[in-house]
This record gives sequence, structure tokens and C-alpha cells, in this order.
Amino acid sequence: MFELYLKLGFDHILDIAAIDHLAFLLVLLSSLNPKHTKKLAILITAFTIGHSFSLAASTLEWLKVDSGIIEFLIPITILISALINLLPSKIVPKNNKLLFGSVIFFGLIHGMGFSNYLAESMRNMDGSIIIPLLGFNIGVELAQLILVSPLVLIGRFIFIRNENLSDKMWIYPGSIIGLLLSIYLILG
Amino acid sequence: MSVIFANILFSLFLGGNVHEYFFSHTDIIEKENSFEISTNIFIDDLDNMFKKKGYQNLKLGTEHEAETADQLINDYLQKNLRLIVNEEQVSWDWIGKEVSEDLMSFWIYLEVIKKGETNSFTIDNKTLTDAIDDQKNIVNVVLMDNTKRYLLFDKSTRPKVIK
Repeated sequence: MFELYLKLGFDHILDIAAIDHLAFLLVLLSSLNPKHTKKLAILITAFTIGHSFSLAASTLEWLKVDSGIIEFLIPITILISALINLLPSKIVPKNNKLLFGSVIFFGLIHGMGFSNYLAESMRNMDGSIIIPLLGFNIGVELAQLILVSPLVLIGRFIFIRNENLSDKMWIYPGSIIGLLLSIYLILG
Repeated sequence: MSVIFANILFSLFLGGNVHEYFFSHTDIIEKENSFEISTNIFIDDLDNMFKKKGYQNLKLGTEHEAETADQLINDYLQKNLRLIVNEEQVSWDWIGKEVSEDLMSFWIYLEVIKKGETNSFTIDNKTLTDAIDDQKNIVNVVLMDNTKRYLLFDKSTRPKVIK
């Protein structure tokens, strides 16, 4: 049972149908120059803490928000995060509080999205939900790690070697792709 | 956007009778003389699949359900939920079906009469993968020798050998 849910969680992140999670990860990854690997790792950890908490809370039914509203909010979290990355610091102050605060809050929303999926997969099943929950969450984290870490390491390598590369070369491409995807998802 | 709003409205007014993901769940429990199978499938997915095959008016799960519905579902399941026991694909008796409490899915009950010891057991569940790309079928198998397996089938998985 653990293995099955590990696989479900893993596949759910890598599934192109769950492109909203991929898009959010991309924007998250783009928010800081990969030279600052540690800070980026903390940022991704913050997202993980946020979504793990709300995944558990809503799966255990401590937290209940209509799934339609969550699915509507998820692309909006991508849009706002991309805008935070892209807008000049005159409009959006570039401080850690805003960045980390938004990431934890958006993590909470994404976790409730994961929980919708997990709940549907456990429909009409008897027995414990702790093992599926653990398996699913670890599957999600593994997939996230496999996606994110090579990109960060390659980025780090490039940006440390080329001192003159502007932060924008890292921040803009991913954020713009995320922005476009979020608009597509909102209008779609 | 319109789909999302429709979903929100729909779930507000109808108490959340929309499902976004495609799962079926099947339990297969081995008993002394039989295998008891119960499978839970979304009614609208089943209905859409049959519509694609040209059956327009089955009205599954309603009072006006077509009389042929059970037979059609049974034939469809025999082709897609395949149990191979001792190298031979088994057929089952249709015990019955009922609508789940939330009115969204069927519980379908089937029974296979065993012909002897279970020396090998292979299973495949392609239910609805012909109509829905993202369909995932979860199968929980419990055999007499205490073999317990949770299996996941989708469009691309192959039959799984349990024993």
C-alpha cells in the first residue's frame, strides 16, 4: 500500500496533466539566483512544509475547503509568484519576508490540491489513511527533488563560473513561462 | 475559467457531485471456494465510455436504466478486468450492483467459483482506460495464503503476476 501511494504521489508531480504543480516549481526555482543555493533550498523546503502540512490536515479532515475553489486558486498562486519575480522592486519589494511568506501560504494551497487527488484515490477504501498519506507525500517530495535538484546544480555551476551573468538571466525565463502557463490555466 | 466557475457553482449547489480525477477501486478477496470481487466505478465515466461505443441511452444508475445495462457492464468488465488463475482466464457470476451513498459510483459485486488450489494468479485491470487517458485502477488482492497486494493499473501497465 505504501509503495502504491509512493508511486501515485511521484507520478502525480511528473504527470503533464498536473502541469500546475510543475509550473509552480519552475517559478519557485526561478525566484533566486542559483548561486544562493542554500537560500533556494530553504525556499523549496518552505514550500514543502506548507504543502505537507495542508495535505495531512485536509486528508485527516482537520481542514476542509471546497476542491473547486482550490483548483481555482492554484493557477493564481503561480501568477502571483511569477509577478513577484518579474515586477521591478519599486512595485514589489524584494525582501525575504514576502518571498518566504508567500511560498509557505501558496504551499498550503497546493497541499490542499494534492489532498483532493489523494482523497479521490482513496474513495471507498477501507482502513488506515496514514500509510497512503505518508507514501503519497514522500512520493511527491521525491519527484520534486528529482526535478529541481539537477536544475539548481546546473544553474549554480553556470552562474558561479560566469560572474557577470545577471540574475535576470535565471529569473526571467522560468518566471515568464510560469506566468504564461498560469494565464493559460486561468483562462482555460 | 468557465469550467472552474462551473465546477465551483456545481459543487456549491449540488454538494460536490463532481469528480476531477479518474479512479476505480477493486477488492479481490480469496475465500475457501471462491473469489469475491467488488469494484467501485464512477457512473458518469462508465456512461461516457458506453456513449463513445454508441450506446446513447443507458441512463445508468437511474430509475430508467436500460434493461441491458447489467449485461453490457458485465461483458465490458470481463474484457477489461482479467483474472488469470492457474494459467486460465476465469469468468464470474454477476451478483449485482448498487449505487454508492453519494450517488456517484456503482459498487459491482462478482463471484468466481474456484476449481481448485490457486497455484498462480495474474491480474490486469484496463477498465475505462480505453475511454479516459488518465484513468487509474487500484486493485487490492488478498489471497488465502495471506498474500496481500495493492496494485495500480493505468493505460500503459501490463498484467501483474501475483503468484
